[in-house]
Amino acid sequence: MADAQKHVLIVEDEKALSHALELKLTHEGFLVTIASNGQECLDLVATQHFDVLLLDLIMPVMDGFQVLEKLGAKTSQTAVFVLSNLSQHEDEERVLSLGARKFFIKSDTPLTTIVDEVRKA
Amino acid sequence: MNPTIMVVEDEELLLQAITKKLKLSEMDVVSCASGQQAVDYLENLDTLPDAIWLDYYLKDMNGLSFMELVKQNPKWRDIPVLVVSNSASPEKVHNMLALGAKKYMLKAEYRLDEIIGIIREFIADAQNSTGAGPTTSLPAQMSDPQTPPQAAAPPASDDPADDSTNQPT
Repeated sequence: MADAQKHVLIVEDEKALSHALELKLTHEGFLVTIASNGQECLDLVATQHFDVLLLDLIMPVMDGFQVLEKLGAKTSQTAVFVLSNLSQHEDEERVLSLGARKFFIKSDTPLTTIVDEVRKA
Repeated sequence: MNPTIMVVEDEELLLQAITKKLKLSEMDVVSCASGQQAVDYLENLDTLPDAIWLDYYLKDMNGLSFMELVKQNPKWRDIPVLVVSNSASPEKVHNMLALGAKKYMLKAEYRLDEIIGIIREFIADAQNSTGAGPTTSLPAQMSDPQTPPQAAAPPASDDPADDSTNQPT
């Protein structure tokens, strides 16, 4: 199965949610790594390749906007999907301009939809 | 291990403020901006939250509908639910307590710290009492369906998120 090779990095400080996502993605055959803040994400991206990055915006230490700014050109090699409770259009425009491929408002996006989007990435 | 609190609140800034405050109080948080999101997470979390902080008015359902969903599910019905709302008519309070909410609180009458303290008490009660249902330890004044919620503390602010003495920097 081709998807089994896909490596997903979940960047989320809410542990219960990152574990739920990890379980669903692992069940679907994806290789999953978790970072609990932006700095951990950048440290991992510096040493490993990820096919998909699921990125929360509001996090301690370093938020999702800063992560996108620092990732820069790397967003062309990794599909970055932003997941956030922020629903302002300006937030969506900003993350897309910083290289995110998609912006999902958590309250409008069931976890199964996120898994589907990772599969399609 | 830190307790996990699910916060269901559709006002973004308030959700952020509550989430931040709970995390600074050494609690893990599952933040939800809608009732359906909370239900989706409850269905998918490998470990259920220790308590639910529920706003009465949500953009996609009201607190009663959410409580009915929680109480109908055998896996979820013992999770203590604390309703925190901008309004509390006797009928709303009666209905929520009848459905099994542990407490109904007016946002304007409590500081975030006080609400977090009450959540800690609920979690401690749940851990200390085996087999006790969530409605058995209701405060007396809140268990009477005809009695509106008690103004237990002077308002520190109209909005707990505006409580600058409590907010992290």
